[in-house]
Amino acid sequence: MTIARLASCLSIAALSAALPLSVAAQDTPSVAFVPQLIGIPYFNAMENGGNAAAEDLGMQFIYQGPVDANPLDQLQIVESLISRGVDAIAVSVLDASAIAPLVDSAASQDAILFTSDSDAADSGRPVYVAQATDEGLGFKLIDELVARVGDDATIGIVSGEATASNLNAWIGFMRDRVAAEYPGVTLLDPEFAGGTAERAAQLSTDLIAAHPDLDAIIAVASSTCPGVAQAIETSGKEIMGTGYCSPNTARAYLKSGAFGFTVLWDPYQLGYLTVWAGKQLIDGAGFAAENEVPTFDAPVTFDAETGILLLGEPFVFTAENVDDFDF
Amino acid sequence: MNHALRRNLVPVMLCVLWVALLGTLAATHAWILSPRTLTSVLQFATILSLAAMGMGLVVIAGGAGIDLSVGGTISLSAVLGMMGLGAGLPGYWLPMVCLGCGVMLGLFNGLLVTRLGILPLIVTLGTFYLFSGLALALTGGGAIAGVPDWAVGWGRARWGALPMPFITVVLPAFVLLSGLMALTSWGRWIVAMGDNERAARLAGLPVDRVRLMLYALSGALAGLGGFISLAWLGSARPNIGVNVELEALTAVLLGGVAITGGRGGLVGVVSAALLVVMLRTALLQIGINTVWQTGAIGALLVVALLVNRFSNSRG
Repeated sequence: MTIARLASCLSIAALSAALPLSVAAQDTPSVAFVPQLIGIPYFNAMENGGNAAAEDLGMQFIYQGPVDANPLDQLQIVESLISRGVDAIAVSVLDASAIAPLVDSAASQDAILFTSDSDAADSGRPVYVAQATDEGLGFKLIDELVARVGDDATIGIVSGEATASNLNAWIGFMRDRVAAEYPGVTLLDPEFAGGTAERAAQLSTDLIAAHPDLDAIIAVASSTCPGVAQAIETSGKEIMGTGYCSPNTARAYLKSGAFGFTVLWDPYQLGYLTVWAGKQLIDGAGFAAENEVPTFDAPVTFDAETGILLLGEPFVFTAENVDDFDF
Repeated sequence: MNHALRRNLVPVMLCVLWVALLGTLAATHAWILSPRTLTSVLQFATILSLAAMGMGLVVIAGGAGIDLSVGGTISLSAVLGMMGLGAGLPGYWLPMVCLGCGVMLGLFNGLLVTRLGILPLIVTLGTFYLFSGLALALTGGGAIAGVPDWAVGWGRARWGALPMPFITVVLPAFVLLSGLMALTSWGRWIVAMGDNERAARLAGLPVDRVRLMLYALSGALAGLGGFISLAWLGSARPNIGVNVELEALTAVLLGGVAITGGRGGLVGVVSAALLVVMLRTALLQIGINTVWQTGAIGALLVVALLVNRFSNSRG
């Protein structure tokens, strides 16, 4: 019996240790953000931005996400946040179809569910806080890459989860751009590495071996950037790496030359904007076509037809400017 | 310590854990114990319970039995079901197609195990990659929408606080299989072959046939899980079964099934599956970091194995 008693003591201890973290305070309005997975610099930066906004705007900010990019786990987290009585919940959607059952569920509890960073367009969400348009990101990366490797290049793609709607949308626009503007460019079918860097390295190494004429590899998910860079460095070939990588992730590779450039936005600002949008929704204030957001230099545009609140233009990071950023 | 208690140490521990969990919540976070939480727990435990029951029976039957492919089977049968509709099958075939796919995939495992005599761990690890990979390849990674309205209506319906799929699939499956285990000779064969396969063979039990059926059954339950995922989420997603095999195995071991076979029951398995989901839901609602939740479930499993080991030693 002693072990059973020990087990019960352990579970009680674990639960009571959690007491101070309880979110029962209903006085200050609360906004939650559910990332696709926790523990990567990109979403950490969004968390920091969200915390800063919560402090500036007098809100409570909750950051909770799955430990691996699993849509069902994410669904369960959102469900729990609704039960906890959080006022507004932003989700970086892993799988658009999975969010649909939650929209009614949220409404019945007077919670507002909206999307940020990755969208579920048909879910009936009131607003999508977009980092950049998918079109802008896809086109920008191809334009910058073709300018560096030439318009007869062969380009490989390494993506993350095969079901992530944002990643797939960017790849779609890369294809559109190549088809419309650069007929000489060969864009290979994307390889999917899931969330791990080792798998991305292996896939990239295989790509390089299978295509001797490969000129560039695009790392679509931020988690695949180190793997792609590592494969390029160990191959010793003249291949340009690029992708949607944060400056901290890509800094070493930009300086070593394995990466020519990366395209992204500032997730800190995206997190800030997400909490600001949550406050607007809770206050019932809505969005104008152009919105003044505290600490933002330029006004933020809102498209009432698509419900997209747009952070701004994508940004190109190079070896020269990468040290100006820290995320 | 008396013999009966020692033999039932794991079920006792499970009860203690349930009482401890609910008691602690009632004392400190009573608002969590709401009908809403019950709905949520049963909803997220539905697919897991089905997979865990199949896995449980495969493990109880011994012979190093394990079915790591259940997650892949769930994904692939959901995807094949929707592709069947896309190919022109009428909508009411959907449950049968998913179930049938599950049975076929399970039989495939069973044949490899019983006819070729390959270790179940290796067979089902291989088919786990095969099935999940096939599901991804067939869909190109995207979700397939277009589940018929009647199915979605059923998948999201509730009877009071109880989700319909749980009442109409998990409960009947549980009653049926418990009856099978307790009342029929099949149930006694399963335990006997798990306890001592050599003796069971010498006694003339159809060990291979029973084992083949159990893998098919595990596949069938996973196929039903695939159908429920369609009805619940409204689309077929090639990665819906990710991690289910590991969670199901956790529930099986936590539920008092000996990994070497011959001991354990479905009551323990289902109650452990519910406990895992309840614990995770409670930790989420309290607001504990998800990293710690994974750790908490791991710690629970280690404790269960320790208790299991302790109750195993005879004398």
